[in-house]
Amino acid sequence: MRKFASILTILAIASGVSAFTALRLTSLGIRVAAQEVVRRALAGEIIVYGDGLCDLSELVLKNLERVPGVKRVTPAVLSLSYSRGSMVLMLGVRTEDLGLVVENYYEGGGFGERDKGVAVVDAKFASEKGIRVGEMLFIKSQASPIAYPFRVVGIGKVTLEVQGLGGVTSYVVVPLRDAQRVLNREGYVTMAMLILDDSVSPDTVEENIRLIYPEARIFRREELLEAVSNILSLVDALLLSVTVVGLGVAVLGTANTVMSNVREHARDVAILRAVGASKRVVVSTFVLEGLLYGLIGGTAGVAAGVAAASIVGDFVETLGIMEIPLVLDPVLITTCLLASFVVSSLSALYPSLKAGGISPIKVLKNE
Amino acid sequence: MSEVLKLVSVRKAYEFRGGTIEVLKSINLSVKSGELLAVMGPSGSGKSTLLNIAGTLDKPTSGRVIIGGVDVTEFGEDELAAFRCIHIGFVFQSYNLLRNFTALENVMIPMLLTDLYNVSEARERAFELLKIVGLSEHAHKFPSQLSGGQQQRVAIARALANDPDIVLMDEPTGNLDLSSAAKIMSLVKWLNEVYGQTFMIVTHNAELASVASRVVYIRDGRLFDKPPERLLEKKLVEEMKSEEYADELRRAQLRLLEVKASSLRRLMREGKIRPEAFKREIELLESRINGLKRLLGLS
Repeated sequence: MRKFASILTILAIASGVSAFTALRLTSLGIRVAAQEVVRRALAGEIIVYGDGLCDLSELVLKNLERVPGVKRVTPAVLSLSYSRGSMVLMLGVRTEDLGLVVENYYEGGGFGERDKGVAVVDAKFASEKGIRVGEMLFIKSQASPIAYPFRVVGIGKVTLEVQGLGGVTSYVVVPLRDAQRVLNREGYVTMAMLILDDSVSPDTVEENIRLIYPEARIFRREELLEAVSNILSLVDALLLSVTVVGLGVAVLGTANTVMSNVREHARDVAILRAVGASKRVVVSTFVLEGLLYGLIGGTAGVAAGVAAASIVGDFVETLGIMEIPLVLDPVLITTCLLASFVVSSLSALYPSLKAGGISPIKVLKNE
Repeated sequence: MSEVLKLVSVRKAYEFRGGTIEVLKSINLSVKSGELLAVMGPSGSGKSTLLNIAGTLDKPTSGRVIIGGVDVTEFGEDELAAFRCIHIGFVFQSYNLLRNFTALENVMIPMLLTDLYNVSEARERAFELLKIVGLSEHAHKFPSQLSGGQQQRVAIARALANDPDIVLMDEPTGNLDLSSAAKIMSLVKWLNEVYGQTFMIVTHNAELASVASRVVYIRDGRLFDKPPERLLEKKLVEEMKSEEYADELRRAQLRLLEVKASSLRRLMREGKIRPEAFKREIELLESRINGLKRLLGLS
């Protein structure tokens, strides 16, 4: 019976710790994944938008290049469009910027300076629609009634997932001039992604951009990362509050088991006290028991938590939501283990103090 | 011979709502080194309380407890535990061995608690002590695998573990058959004479007390050097002789008879008793009630 109670206690600790570990690891993975998505979405430290759909003049871009601290300006046209009966994001970039948004060509390649009416299709979209290199693709922007033909020259992985968090994840990358033609907005782009010198403060650059282009909508990657981080922290807090219940069960379980053991061994404690054991010896014996539960339960819980986090990550990836990396943060693992030791020994403290207070004379008199 | 235990005017009283019960009344006792002292007394005479106070498991209400020349009366609990561990050995009626430890480990524990010995030294000493009590071949057995007499011998070895100034024994043969009891007492006698160990044994067993080098008697919380004669009877007669006690008894008897008479009348009203039987019973009762009332001056 006692062994059974001990096993249940260890399981309670293990389940609490594993839930805690799994949630923390998953949350850490989501944070890393989300940050990666944001980084991919914002291929520059500062993103400048016009105040309309595609009304950032190329003249402004030239001025932006002259702002002190701006190392590189990458213009892009982005438009919600239709192709093969599905919604896609048409992304127009210059040939020299193609490498920033596409990596790993699975078939074909990119487009050149002189290419017109060509497109690189995102591997996922190509796979869904059975698109192959050399086929023709008609793209119709939401802003235009005409569908334009494009010849597929490459199928690759698009890393600039601007709307990745919004739901539409299919991309067709076309030359910047072609995208402007589809939208009928020659000389204008949707946004400019700015890469800055390391030595310059993004605040200063942002201030200078506002001086030359007051209507601009400016987004800072850091701000977006911070906003994402804040939202994830909120989700973290909610999930962790759930694990508190599990840890509470572990605390009560440990306290109950140690208390039962104290009652069961009251006679042994009384004998030990009679032959000269100090209160400290008795208390530390029972605290050690709690610590042992924490050690076994905590280790098993951390292992189960890592396994659970890995399974959750794989499952989410299978659903195509996002890739959640398994980040085995040593600080987090150590914290989980320490937390289980501390929680179990603290929960064993009260029954242990009770054991320390056992009077040998009272217990042995009742024999 | 030096004194290993001295109790000076030790009194132990328990406070209850209804008053105070004095279990020990100004006890003075001195145990010399090498003595085998038996404290004899019937159940409830205070002998176990005396042993617990002498063994520092309990504290006196007043008086001093001096062990090995050290006045331990004002010691704190942990100080007492440490002192007990080195200076006092205990042997209880119900052996009180730790069930989950072998005989050897039970003997090792008091040594390990002192921090004086490491595990291998404690094991070596424990094995020697088990040899002394004739149990070396049972060293690795658990208490449940040993007979009562063997368990008590392990308890004696445990009591001797730290070479105590005195070993206190509470009815050490109380749970044993005659043959085992004889073996235990021979061992105690031998340890006292050959090993020079001081013992204080509390018992109600006269045969057990006969092996002691000195016997003191305890009755009603007081110590006597000679057996007090018919103390209980004397006390009872004194109490009965007192008029106050007699009146109290008569009043109780009167209440009992009045309740009985009232029950008889109720049965009569309910027709559950024949009238002639009722008449006979009630007349008898009333005559006794009236007699008691006269004695109590109520009529």
